[in-house]
Amino acid sequence: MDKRRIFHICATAALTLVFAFAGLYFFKSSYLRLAESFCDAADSFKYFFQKLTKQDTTAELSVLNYSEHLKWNIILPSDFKTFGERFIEYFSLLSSHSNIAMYGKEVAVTAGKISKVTAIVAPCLMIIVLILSRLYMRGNTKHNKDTLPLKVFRTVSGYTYQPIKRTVLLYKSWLDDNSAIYVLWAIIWLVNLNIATVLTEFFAYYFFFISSFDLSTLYPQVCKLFIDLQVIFEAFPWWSLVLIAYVLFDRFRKRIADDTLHHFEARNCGFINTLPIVSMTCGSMGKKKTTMVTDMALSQEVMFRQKALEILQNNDMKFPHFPWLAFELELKKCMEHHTVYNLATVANFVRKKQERYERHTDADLQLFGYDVKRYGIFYSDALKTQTLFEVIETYAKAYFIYVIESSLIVSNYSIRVDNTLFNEGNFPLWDTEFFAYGRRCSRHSHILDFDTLRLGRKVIENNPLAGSFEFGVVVITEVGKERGNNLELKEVKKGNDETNQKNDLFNSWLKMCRHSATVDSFPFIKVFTDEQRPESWGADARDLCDIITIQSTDGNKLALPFYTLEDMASEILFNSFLSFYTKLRFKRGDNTLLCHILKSATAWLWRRNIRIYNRYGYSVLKVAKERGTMDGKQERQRYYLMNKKIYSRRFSTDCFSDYFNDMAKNCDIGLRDYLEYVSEKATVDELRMQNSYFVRSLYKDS
Amino acid sequence: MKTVKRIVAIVLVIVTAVAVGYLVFTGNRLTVGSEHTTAYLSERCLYG
Repeated sequence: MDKRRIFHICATAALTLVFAFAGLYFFKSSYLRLAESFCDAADSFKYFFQKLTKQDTTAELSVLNYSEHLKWNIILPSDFKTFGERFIEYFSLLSSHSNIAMYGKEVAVTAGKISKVTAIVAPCLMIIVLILSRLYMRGNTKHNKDTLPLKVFRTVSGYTYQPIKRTVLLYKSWLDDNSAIYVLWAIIWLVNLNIATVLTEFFAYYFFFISSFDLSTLYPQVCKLFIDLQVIFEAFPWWSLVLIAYVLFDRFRKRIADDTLHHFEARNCGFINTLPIVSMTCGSMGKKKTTMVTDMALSQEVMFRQKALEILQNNDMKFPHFPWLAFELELKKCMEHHTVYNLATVANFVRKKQERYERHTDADLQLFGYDVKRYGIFYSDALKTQTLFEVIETYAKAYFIYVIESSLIVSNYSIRVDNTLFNEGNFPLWDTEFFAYGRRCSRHSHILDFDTLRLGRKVIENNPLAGSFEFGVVVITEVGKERGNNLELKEVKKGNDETNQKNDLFNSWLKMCRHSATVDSFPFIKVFTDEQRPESWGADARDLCDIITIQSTDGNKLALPFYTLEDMASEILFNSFLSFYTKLRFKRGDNTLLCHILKSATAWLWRRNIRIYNRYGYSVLKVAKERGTMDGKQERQRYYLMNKKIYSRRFSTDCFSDYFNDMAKNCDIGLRDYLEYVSEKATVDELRMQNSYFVRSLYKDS
Repeated sequence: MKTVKRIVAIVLVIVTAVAVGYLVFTGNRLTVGSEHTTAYLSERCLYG
């Protein structure tokens, strides 16, 4: 056992003993109260049992009495009648003019005190800031040299704060791996702070109340609850409770933010479901076309998995006693051996099973022991009658789509996906959460070989991938540059020897693509494309689409509520520091202690702010959807881009940049080497240097 | 828009603090008032 582990175990033992002794010395009354609550619970349960068996209730009900160990230190009166009187008195006092006037006087007095303090402190602070600015703005070029105070600070913190911080972080990570220790400490503190008593008293009163329904006993229970909770307020100072309250409040608002993001994702899925098989997203440069198309592809992939699961569940119900798990395991083995690798081979696999069953009628071998005589092989849904094998085939195809451990996205640029399949040897489940904390394993979309989508001529003769595409999410960026329009293809002939946009029958595939992808009447195919202008893609294909035009983007919004003041504070502090820091960097080359401390604090604040915007930020795209024929009414909608989902290194916006990088690498010059104009008006030589068609035509004509 | 949101947030915080302060102030007055009454009555009983 290494030294660090021994240290961790000793630290844990020491902390546990400290917590236990704190309980016995400082929270002794909590343990006595807990014992009382166990007695209350036992009496209540005895009372409940006696009532249930209609016996005479002999049990003494201690749950109705106040505690003998905890003193009454709360402001509530002990009986309900007095509480009622004080309640009315309170509300009449609330609306009395004299009370409002007194409060106003108190507020004025407090404001006066604060102003007096501010009037003294503010000028002092200004003087200090002025003096520091003068001292710090003495210029030097001692590049990257630490000042003496900073050296001392680094040395001292290197021997004190840094080792302690490292030890604490390592210890915390060891505790996270041994989370049973957290459970033990939680139990000790639940008892110390009387929370275990509150829970026990709840059950004790519950058993009494459901037997008696005596409402008059409710008020004493409320008083007892406040008496039990006073232990927490007496044990800790008010500022520590404010900290704990802030932590709980933060968790509460993060849950609201997560719900909001999920709601936006659901709205996006609703929008995607209204689109036909093929859609085209248009907008000028920088309008987030590719971002939107990538986002839709990620959501569609998840929806396909969910739909496949739904089909599995529906078909399971058609023959509920069929051993589906055994069938799934056999199908999975065939997938691993690559005897089943697409929907056609799945259908083949089931057909062979059927043929073998019809030949041998051996249900044990072919149907995994399914009792055909008892449960039958026909299912009628009042529309049609299906045989067991027809349902098995549908089930097998849906299972294949559901369980295939690769992305369903096929694209002409890389898209990262991180859906995780959990499999414990039975039915697997997908984790398709886009807003999860922590990292997950990534994979990327498949490379789109356009030959797989061509029904006619192919770029590569006898391409082994030809005809293999059946289902999935196809994403094509810059589709107009790939497919062209009638104007660009004017000189291109269908009868040409080489493969071109007219003889590859890609448009025919677009029109018929759902045929290969349909399982249980649902087409598992969607094609998302983007281009700057809809007219860039020929009308024959474009008419099949819905065109989504991105009109505007609403800036970075935040789903996390009640964050306005913290955002404001971060921005003010960051901007103030930045102006000081920029001046300091201009004047001085060395590293100072004040700058080091201020920068560390500002950087922490800045990083926290960025993480919150990255986790909970979103932008709203205002889009107009219309038919591909562009002769219909435009429907205005909104699409939400959530930062956590779409900007977690999902794709590269400069997906074709390597093409330009290659060209630039082979050049010997850069921007600095271009000649500059001599004056505000270009000379004739400078005009000729542009190699412009217009200038050449002017001089040619003249 | 951002500035408006921030001003509204600050105003809301101040108003909430003043309102909560008033409720607590009234509660304290009620409690202190009843304690004085109880103390006064017990003195009267002892010495009256």
